[in-house]
Amino acid sequence: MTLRWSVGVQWALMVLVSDFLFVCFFRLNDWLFESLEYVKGVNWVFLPAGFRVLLVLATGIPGALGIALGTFWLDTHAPVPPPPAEMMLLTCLASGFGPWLVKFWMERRGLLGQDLMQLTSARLLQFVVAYAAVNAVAHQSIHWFFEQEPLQPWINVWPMFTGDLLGTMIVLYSLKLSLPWLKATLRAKT
Amino acid sequence: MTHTDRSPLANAYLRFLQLARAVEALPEGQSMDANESALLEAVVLRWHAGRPMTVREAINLSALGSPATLHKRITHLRQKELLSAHSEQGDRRAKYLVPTQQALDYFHHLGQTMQLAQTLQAP
Repeated sequence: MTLRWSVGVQWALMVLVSDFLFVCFFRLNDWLFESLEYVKGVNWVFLPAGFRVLLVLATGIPGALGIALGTFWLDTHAPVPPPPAEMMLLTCLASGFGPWLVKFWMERRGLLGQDLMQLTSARLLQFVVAYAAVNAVAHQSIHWFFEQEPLQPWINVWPMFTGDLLGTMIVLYSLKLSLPWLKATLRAKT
Repeated sequence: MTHTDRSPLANAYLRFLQLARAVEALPEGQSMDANESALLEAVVLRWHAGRPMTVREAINLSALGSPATLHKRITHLRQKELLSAHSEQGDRRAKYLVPTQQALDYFHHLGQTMQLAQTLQAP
């Protein structure tokens, strides 16, 4: 297998895994926190937001692409009729590439190092807050632009921001708590 | 080998390791235990006296623990961004432990609290 093929296969694998994980956690979130839904598509706790952070920071563009594809799949398999194609495309891009743009912006400003070198917990938290804000504003702007019915994006943006922030913190702290067990399991297997 | 030479999966794994380190250092309810606090105090006192402690000296503070334990505590304090390690120009062998602004803010806060306690106790 040539090097280019190998790189292509690895990219495709990362896209598919990101896509699968995002869809699974979206469904899990629906099941766990259905009662905390503010309006359709906005939840006070949104666990997939945490997976967006992990996937995009670890894999970069393949992770963003996987999340965008996962959002597309969720939109086309929702019990309600799918939104207009342009709106769906923009929502998918905002969902996947919003965190990637925040990462890119922080790298350009020297706030994040190449390959996350010297990433500190404080910087990670700054990334999470910036990402939650960008994601909430982007999604609500898209909804406001395309929706026919009257919306209040300046009000809806807060539950979405809170949901993304809380969901991400739950995922990050769950990872923090499970890391010692994960390391011990890996050590036992090697 | 540069990062571009590595396979995408290897890059993703190495980035995940960096991410895991940052996640491990996320703040908890209690930021420092008593042992870490004692080590931080010892390091900051030496720095305050104008003779910053080297990592080697710090891990040999036998009154505070074994070298392995102290090394782990130094790592924790560095992950919590309370200590940073610097080398002198021209000699990169010795690494000096220096308190960060966050550590200095912590001691400033302790000082303020002590002053407040004295004010409250005054007749």
